[in-house]
Amino acid sequence: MAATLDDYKSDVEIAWCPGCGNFGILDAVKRTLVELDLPPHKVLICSGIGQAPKLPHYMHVNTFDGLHGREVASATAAKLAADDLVVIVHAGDGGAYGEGGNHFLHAIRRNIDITLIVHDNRTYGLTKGQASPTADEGSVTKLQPRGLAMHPMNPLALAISQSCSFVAQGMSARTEHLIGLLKAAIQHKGFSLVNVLQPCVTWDKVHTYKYYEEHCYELGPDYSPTDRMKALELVLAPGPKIPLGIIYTEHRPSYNEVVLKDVPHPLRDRGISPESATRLFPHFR
Amino acid sequence: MLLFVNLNYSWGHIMDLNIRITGAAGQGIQTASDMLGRAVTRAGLFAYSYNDAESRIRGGLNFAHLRCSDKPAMGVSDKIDILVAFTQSALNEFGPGLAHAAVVLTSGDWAHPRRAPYQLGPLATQAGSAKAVTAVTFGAVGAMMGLERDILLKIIRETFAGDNKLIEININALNSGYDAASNRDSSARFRMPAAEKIAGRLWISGGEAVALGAVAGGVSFYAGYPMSPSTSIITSLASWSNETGVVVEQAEDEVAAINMVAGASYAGARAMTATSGGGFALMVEGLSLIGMIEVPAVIALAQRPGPATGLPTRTAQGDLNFVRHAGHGAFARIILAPRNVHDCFGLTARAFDMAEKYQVPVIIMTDQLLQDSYATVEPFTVNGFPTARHLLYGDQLNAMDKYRRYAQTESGISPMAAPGVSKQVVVVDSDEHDEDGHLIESAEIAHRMAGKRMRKAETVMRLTEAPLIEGEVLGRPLVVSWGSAYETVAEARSVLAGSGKQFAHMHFHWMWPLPRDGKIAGAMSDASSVIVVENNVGCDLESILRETAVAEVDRTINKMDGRPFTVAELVEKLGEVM
Repeated sequence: MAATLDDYKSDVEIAWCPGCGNFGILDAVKRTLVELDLPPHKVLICSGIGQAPKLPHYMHVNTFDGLHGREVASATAAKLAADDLVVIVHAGDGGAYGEGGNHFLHAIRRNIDITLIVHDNRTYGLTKGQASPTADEGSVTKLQPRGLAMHPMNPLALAISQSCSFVAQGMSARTEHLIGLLKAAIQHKGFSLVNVLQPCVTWDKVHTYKYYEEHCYELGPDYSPTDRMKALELVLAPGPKIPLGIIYTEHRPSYNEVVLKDVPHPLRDRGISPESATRLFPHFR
Repeated sequence: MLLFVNLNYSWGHIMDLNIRITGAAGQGIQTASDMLGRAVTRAGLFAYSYNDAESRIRGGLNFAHLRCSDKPAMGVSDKIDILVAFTQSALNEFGPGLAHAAVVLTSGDWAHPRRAPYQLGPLATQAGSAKAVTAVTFGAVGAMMGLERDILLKIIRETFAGDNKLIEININALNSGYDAASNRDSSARFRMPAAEKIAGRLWISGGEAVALGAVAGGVSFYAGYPMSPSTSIITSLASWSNETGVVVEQAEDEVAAINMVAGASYAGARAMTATSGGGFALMVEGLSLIGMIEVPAVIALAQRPGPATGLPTRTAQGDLNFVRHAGHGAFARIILAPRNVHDCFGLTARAFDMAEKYQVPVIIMTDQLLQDSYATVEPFTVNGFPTARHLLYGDQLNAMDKYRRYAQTESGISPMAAPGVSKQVVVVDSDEHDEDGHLIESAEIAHRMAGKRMRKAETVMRLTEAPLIEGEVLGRPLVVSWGSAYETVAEARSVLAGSGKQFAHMHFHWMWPLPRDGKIAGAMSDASSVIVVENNVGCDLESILRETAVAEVDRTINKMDGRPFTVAELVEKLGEVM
């Protein structure tokens, strides 16, 4: 029986601000899963803290809503334990790049087959508008009244420089385009980063829907995402233009594929055999 | 039961040979001790070793202390019968004040009145490598103990398996050490009694026994960051992974490790981590997550002295109160502290079953002493160990209209399902949540869900085990200890009994929850005085007994130098207060 949008329907009341970019992302995720014909019980969404990570509650789907910034660590282990699940992580820019920065780097190293969708609005929304790791230098917020004195992180460049095996950027209002990216990311066998730009309609008066419409452009068929230096050049290019699309991909074995080779899996389904310990006794004689 | 009833502390009819191998880090002290312990075990005798090492890779002053007997003797001893010194500074440190009967083996030509007439270093060099001093020592001490040469040769071949050149050098070295010691007149002094060779016994450390217990308990996923003195657990599990299929993940940090344990456990794997105090501190938010989302977790905490980095390679029992209170918010937990190498195995295996059955974190507290102590033990038995998982089956779940991860129950324990085994979805949330697992703000639901967790905590509070009590309590001093201190206190008890000072010994390995049946308080009030012995500055067990109104304690004997209590030390300190 084919999966339908109805399968993913949740009756939990949505706590996002009216007009929030998260609505577009939620819509895109649900439609992507349906288009990939994945039933909710075969999908696990891991998330943490903030507004973005509430997303799985607004769907009917396996959900691990854990700690702030730790969603990638938990998702990595969940994938190793139950590798028959499609594992997706939703995090804000604060969770993924701030609190969880170290886990982000090491997930890239592992190339674990999960898809990290970062809701990047350059703002800490839920704590009321402080600068996030991707906020512009000079941004004035309640915590940075003299303007943010830090340079923004470039997560795409960081990921590409570390050979992240799938790097894409979407925009929350361009749903059809985003669905295309999410499908490719989920089908990619390795760690996929999809940075989704979204306006924070409550706190950020600069990066509005209009701003993104004016500055974003979609990469065309002439762009090849397999050249790492070209990809870096693209995301490091100065200027106001923001590329959307699959920016970089490479093929290398996924962590779960390597680690679970010749190991009975999913680990979830293993029974208990105390005798297996006695078979190790010869090591101690 | 007491194993040393007739032990004569100096020389008696039970053999008690103490060998201290000393020198710098990287000189093979541990290897020599390990090979000797293995040989003694194969000869049908018992060995026990503990390690004293500095936090460095090369140099410094380290030792391994090996105790050999015809009975299990696992108390920490500082008596020295044979001193092996690989450096002059080690000889300077341990050489003075040796007993008249002691013998000293040295690598170089360093003066000591009781030095053997041969030197280990030149014998090693003649055998082909200065590094083979380990094998020379093995041979010399093995010969002094009267161990069969063939047993030693076989161990050399196993230790250096895969490198024929090294085997040849080390066999030469072993033989030269063996011959040098055999030719010496007085070597018969240290000869161990002949014993029947028992094939099944194991020579194993506490850390390895924890790892082995984890395998018996069904661990399938381990995530951890190496930290002394816990590292032997991850090392062991990794080294057996081809045989066991356990997935061992070296996490980027301890925060990742505990959140991985939570994620793997949610997804249905039996998951574990191990660390020391500093790493555990990093894991505390994750511990609270595990409490909130009610997933099983087994966490081994190998203690070392704090605060902060403390003494990284040394021992303490200073984290019990920390572990009991760790984590914001209130949630159930179980804390166990194995009393010896043997106990590490069974308690760890049980921890996995309880963690899953009650959906709680179970923390196993060892320390550097226990982690790094090797002992000859009878093979662990797994008879009666639980083999059932405590998860709903796919068909049970498919028959349900809707699965609720946090369904209200009388016990507070909600039937647990893993994702992907049925058409049901499994939702967990670190936010306060409803029965479905979705985040909520409702006061009424929040009250009910907190109530569920508190009913679960009450259910878990009934999971207790009475402390071990040895000896007659009525009218006598009662010495109370916990975790790794058991063997040393037990041996001090038998030594003092030999000089007419009787005390009873109460030992805890089930640290939390404590029984609330009044029996501990009853025993304590029967005693003439209550003395708590623990290797910390904070009187952890003493304060728990006091805070939980289990009992008042008269006196504590503490130690805060990062070294374990020794039998002689406790005999003296306990003797003074009795």
